[in-house]
Amino acid sequence: MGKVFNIFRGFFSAVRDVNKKYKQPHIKMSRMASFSLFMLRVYLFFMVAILLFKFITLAVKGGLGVAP
Amino acid sequence: MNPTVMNQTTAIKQESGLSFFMSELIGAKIMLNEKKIGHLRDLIIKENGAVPHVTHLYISLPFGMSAVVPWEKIGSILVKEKKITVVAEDISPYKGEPEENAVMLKDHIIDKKAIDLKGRDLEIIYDVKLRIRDGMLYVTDVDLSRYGLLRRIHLTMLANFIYNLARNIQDQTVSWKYIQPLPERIGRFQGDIKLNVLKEKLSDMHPVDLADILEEMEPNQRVEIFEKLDPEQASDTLEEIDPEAQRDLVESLKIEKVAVLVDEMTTGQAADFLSVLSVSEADAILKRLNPENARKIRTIVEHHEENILDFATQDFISFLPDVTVEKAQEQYRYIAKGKDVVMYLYILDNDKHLTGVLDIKELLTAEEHAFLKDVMIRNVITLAHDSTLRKASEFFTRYNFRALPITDTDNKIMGVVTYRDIMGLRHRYIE
Amino acid sequence: MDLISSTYYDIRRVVKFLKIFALVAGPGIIVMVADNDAGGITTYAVTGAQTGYSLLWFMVLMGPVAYYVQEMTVRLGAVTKRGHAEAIFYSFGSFWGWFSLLDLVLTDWMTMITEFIGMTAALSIFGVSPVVTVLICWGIMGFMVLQGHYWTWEKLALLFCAINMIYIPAAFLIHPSVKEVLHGFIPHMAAGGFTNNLFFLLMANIGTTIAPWMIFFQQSTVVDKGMQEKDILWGKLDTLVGSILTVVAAIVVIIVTGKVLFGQDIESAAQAAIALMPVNKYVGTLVAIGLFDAGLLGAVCISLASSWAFGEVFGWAHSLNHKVREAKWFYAYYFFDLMLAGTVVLIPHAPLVLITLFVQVAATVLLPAALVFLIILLNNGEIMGKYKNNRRENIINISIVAALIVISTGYSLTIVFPNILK
Repeated sequence: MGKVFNIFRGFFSAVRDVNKKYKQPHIKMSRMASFSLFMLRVYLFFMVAILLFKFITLAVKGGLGVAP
Repeated sequence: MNPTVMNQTTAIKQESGLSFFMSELIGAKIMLNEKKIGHLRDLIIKENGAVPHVTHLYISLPFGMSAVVPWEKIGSILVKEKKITVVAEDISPYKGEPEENAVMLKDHIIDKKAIDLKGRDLEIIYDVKLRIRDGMLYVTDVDLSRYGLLRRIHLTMLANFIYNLARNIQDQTVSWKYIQPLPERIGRFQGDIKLNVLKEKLSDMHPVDLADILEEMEPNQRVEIFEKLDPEQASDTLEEIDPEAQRDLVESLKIEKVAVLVDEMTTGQAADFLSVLSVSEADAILKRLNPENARKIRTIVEHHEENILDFATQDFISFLPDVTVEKAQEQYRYIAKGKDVVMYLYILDNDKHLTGVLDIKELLTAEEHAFLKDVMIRNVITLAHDSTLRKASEFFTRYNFRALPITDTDNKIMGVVTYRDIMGLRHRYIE
Repeated sequence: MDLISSTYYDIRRVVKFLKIFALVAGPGIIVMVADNDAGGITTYAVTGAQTGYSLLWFMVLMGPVAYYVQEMTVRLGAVTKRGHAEAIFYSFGSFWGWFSLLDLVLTDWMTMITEFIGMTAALSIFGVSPVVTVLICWGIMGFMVLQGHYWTWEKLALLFCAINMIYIPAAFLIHPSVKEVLHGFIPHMAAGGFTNNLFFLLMANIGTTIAPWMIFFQQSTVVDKGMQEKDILWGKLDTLVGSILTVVAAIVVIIVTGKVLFGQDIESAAQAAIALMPVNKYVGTLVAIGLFDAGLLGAVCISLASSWAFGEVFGWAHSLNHKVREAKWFYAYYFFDLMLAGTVVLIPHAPLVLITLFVQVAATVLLPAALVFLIILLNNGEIMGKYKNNRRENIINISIVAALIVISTGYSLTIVFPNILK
């Protein structure tokens, strides 16, 4: 148990270190750049929403596990 | 005083001189009023002078609780039985975590790397030897042997067996006296790194060895060590280190400082170093160098045409043919300072024509009143100004010189290339 | 005399040029040819079987698309000396960093599985059982990285790239009509007009041309190879040669299946190879070998791409020049990837079709992110200095990226909602 716990602790502390190291973007964001990043977020939310929608409708129909 | 307490304190005193490894004690049962209350998790030490002593015991209690019990409250330590008795009414006043800056033996010392400057290597501290003396628990040695590891993973019997088989391995324990903690500032890594440097000083190490050791270290430790070096050693070390570590170092050092170090290198070495950095870092460094050098370095970094002259240095020693050996010997030590090529004296006439060369050994053994032109070697092996790097490397392999002069068609000297710049760098020898 | 001496210098210049190219080339060719992985070959085979020669012209267009996207990674790698994952963490902070890493890891796992599906299917044509195939693959792929030198790895990978060209003799063996093939290169609409099915095929082809792992992979290779500023031009050339090879391979596969299997219902490259056997057993054999090789090359590159990315982000030693002892996590992840994919394929009744579809959706949904990052990074003067995108490159790259985003969004939508066009 302890061993497994330690591995996870090591992993999480590694992740924390990475987060700390790259907390801030290191480049100056031009207006275009930050705009594109914003659009990217919108796009991804949109796609994820659509996939979720599809997943839920499939689940409701009981069609999961069958390839579309 | 309660007679039982009396007995227990004497128990420690009676065992005075008993020494054991920390791994044998960690996990020991903690007894309070004849009842088991938890396990020993760690020992907190205080460094004062030569030998640190244990000030507190860090104990894990059930349900994820912990307690820090001062040494004075410890009644007895029975290593064989793995049993520690605490003398107190109750454990609750001691509940809590150790202080932020407490140095814990197991957590902070064990498994940490230590530089063994004798072996020029990184060692891992596998265990710590403790000794009870005068009612105190002292940290006396660290164990760098692999058997320390065996013991740690509860193969004490096996470890002891091997110890007895090969007693000479035992000298892999090193007295704590020789363990020098790194500067205070190491504490800024939240106390979880305790890097120890054995005995000698870093500045005595050869750059190549130092580079090897630095490569094995964690990036932040690397910077700490690196900043302790004097510029010349730092420059040589920086050049010897592998590219990834080079990039790491440059990222954490101030760009001005790196520029100073690069300035100490020859153009070939500087180009070799800068070509592994990101272009923006390399540019920032180049801007801080003298323009002529920067231009040469840029040419090497940006083009595949490798002109031998870009690798040549002007910092060589030259004398006129009519100087006496005695005079040359006298002046050598002043002239040689800061030169890139010090092992040869190039004998030039007034128009910089190369007339001969003299090895420093020959200068020292020559007859004092002779003129340089009489003792010098006239048949000099030279590279032409349009020679390729490959040609230079062939010459170096063939003749084993440590530097080669470059001359134009008129036999005027144009510079000197060193063995290190041609043979020691990452060239690709395209032609 | 003058003529002789000038010829001599010309020859010397050419020889020198070729020498530098031989030293620098590798990453571009490998990534491009590996792009024709098992999934890619399957897509081409299906394209040929369904449309004959009528999409050949479209495949030619994919060459520049691949070149312009991948060329940016060469510059980025040679200028920053850092891999793509690290570059994203560094430039955009940890949110986008983790996003890209997760994106890469997920799509890599899935794609790895499709590679193993391709390889087991290919060798089962010769009667080799899937278990043996998986073991062979593990052996070859383990040996490739464990020998401890980037150089050797690269040369082995280039050998597999050469084997990938096996489709060229296959195409000659079936004697296609030159006139019909040439006609295929003239842009025209396939018979039957613009159907749902055609749209699907076009997008599948685009989807196999650019994948997130390719961007990560080539940049990491460039860095591991130690490419420098002065190598950028040769690196671009390397990528160009690679993009030509990938298009040639795609075209010959389409020619083979378009000639022999046109009109047949083909679902995978392995199936195509089986269908080719009665027609010409050499061609069938070549296609099967090519499919195995494609899967192998793809698997090696894909698992390396994520190993490198993890190494960069977590600061593990991550170079093929390291021994296992020096870079244990790097190699551990590589093998973890191999084991995972190999094992999944061996699970009986694993939902492989569903996985394949999921790969396509995930890859195309996540692709825009990778491309947007690439464009932003390449336009940053701080990072790129004088190597940043100039106006011409920007116009080309941004239009390619915009088109890819629109198309890949459409593609993933059609997979999710197959009836959207009806």
